[in-house]
Amino acid sequence: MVAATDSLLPTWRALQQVSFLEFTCKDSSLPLVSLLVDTRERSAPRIACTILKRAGSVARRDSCRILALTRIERQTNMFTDLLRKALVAGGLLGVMSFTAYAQTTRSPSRGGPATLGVVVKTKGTVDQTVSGLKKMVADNGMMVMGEIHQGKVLEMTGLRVNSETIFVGNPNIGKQLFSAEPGVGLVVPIRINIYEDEHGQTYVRYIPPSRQLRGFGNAKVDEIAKMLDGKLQNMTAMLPK
Amino acid sequence: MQRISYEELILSGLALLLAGVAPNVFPAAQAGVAPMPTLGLWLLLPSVALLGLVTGVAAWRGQRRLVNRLLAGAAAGFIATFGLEAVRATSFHVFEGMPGDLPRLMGVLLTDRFMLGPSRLSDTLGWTYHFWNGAAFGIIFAVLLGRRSILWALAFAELIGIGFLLSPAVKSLGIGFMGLDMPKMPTTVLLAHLAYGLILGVLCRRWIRDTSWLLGLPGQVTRRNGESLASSTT
Repeated sequence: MVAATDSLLPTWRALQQVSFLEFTCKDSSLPLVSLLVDTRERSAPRIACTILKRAGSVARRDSCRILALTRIERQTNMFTDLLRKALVAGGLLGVMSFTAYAQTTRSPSRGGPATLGVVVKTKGTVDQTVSGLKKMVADNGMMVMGEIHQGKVLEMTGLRVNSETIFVGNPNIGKQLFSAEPGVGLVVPIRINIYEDEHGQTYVRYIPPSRQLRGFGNAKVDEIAKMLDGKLQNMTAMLPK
Repeated sequence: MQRISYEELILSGLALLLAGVAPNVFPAAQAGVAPMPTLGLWLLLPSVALLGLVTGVAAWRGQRRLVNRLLAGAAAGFIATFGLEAVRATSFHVFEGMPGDLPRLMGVLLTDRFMLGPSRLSDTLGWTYHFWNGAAFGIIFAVLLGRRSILWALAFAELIGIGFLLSPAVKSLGIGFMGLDMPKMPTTVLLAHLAYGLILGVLCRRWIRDTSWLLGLPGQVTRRNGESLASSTT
């Protein structure tokens, strides 16, 4: 059988451009064995011989002769190839479209999905907006309880973004909220993010406290949350547009 | 070769102990032992001051060999850190081979302003701490091994690198065991420490005068310099 394989090799090399070949091998004592082999596989002749062996063909050169080496319709293969390529291209296009869509929806330039908080477009840089907002916070009877300079923190990783978050609250409101529901620490102080998109446009964004606190199912908390919504709306409304 | 005295041995031990404090502050903080500003204030600063004191006492007591090693080791370690930085900074800024800018990260942790990001003060403290670590390791090498061959220095530096990769500091960066999830990182660390070891070894061989090394000396302990303990008791 090895000899049969060797004798086949030149044939394989000569027919590299053919996608599939059909072998028909006849053993005098066995029924006709036919198999389809992909010529692009380097080990195809050996595979063919192995399959013949398994089919019961005796390993004698004379007894196992290749009776036909039929070329399968190239059009069929071309059609299959084309179909496969079209499917792959379509898949890639789909993935790219999805990625592009996902990036667009996450892009600060569009302000993100409408459901994710309130987005306010402002004039000035992030620093100017933060300063202005801090003043508005004080004017509305609230205070800045903490801040994260995400831009500066991420600068340590080599990424350059302009983003800052401030946490606003009020001890009196905090006292009322925590008295009504000890778990509100998950939401308060309220987080306000100020960031700049790739075009240099500055945005202020926050999730309305009423939306975040709704889940506690506490009427008193809901009432305070609505009041906080109003305060945040006032603050952002006073920013230069 | 000058024999070692108890005095020199004790002062060397103290110097090793004090030099070993600084490099452990960052990993200890990341392991949750205590916040870095606390460790910096109560361990790092006193260790630096005490190490200066030990050097002063050694000079006052005429322990020239130890003083030479302390100063040469600190200087060599400090300069060798520039070699380490050349590799680390290139990898970080050009090849994104590090998850973050470690000296700046240590700075914001030391000044407890992680949320606010680096400032001039935090950067200065972070870089100072980074270079002090280099000097401290230089002192450890010089006191322990003196002017052993450059291969020893390379092995010593690689041990530091592996120690760092195994430390909680790397674990806290979220890049897997020894940073293996980000293969560029351990590669950078090992290459950077190779550069550090090379410079440290070369400079120590140049600047340290005595050829002996501490680990090879305990058998020759004397009460005073040159006076054998065995001969004084018989």
